[in-house]
Amino acid sequence: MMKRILVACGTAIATSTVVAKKIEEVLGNKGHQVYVDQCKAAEAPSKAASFDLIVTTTPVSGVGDVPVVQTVSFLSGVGMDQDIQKIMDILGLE
Amino acid sequence: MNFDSFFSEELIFFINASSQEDIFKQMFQRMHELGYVKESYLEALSEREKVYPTGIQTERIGIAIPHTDSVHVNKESIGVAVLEKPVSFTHMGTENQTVEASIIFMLAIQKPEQQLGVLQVITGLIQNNDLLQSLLLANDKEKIISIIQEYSKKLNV
Repeated sequence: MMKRILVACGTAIATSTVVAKKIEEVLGNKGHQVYVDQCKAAEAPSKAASFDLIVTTTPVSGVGDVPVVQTVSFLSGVGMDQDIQKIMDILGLE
Repeated sequence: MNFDSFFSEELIFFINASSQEDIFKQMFQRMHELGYVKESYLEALSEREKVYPTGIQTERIGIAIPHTDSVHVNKESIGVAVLEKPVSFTHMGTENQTVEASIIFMLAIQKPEQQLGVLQVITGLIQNNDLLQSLLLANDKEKIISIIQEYSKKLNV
């Protein structure tokens, strides 16, 4: 089944849009099709359950057992490769 | 992306400011006068920055991408400010980590889902130290526009 990633940021105006696209692109280049959706950080608790992973630029809480990667590397470019690896490890992708 | 609909020389700023508040005020004043943002934009922007800070430490240069809800925007645009001296911003995703920002990209965005192109141009710039450096060294508005325009063409989004 296609892995599902929820991308969250403060207001879902700018950052989650770019981060979602970037993740889709990088994982796509590695041969992994993933489903990516985006939301405001405050909406994460109500959406979390149907996702395998949350990637967020700002802290999120109340998301239960769903793993969370908080990072700005997809914006700053600093540390992006490590974060991609972390995401792939969590999702069990090779 | 329609470059001219987002970037223009009238929205390029060279600012000598001592605080984030001062930067926001100076950029807002012109963007409001020119009709890009509503009266309510400044307060909404400042409030959002407190809750969801937008400072980002890139490879070498600190930047910030302040933005707020689309209801405060009249006409989509990007204000670009090069600061004479860096000003402290709280780093995105943290409560008290700061970053010394030298370049500000103020995003006045209305339909985020349709604005991926311009957002990709901005993140692309942020991730390119040479380009940020050239923006810092530019000494007129024309030069800033031409750097961003050239990059945007290359990116072809």
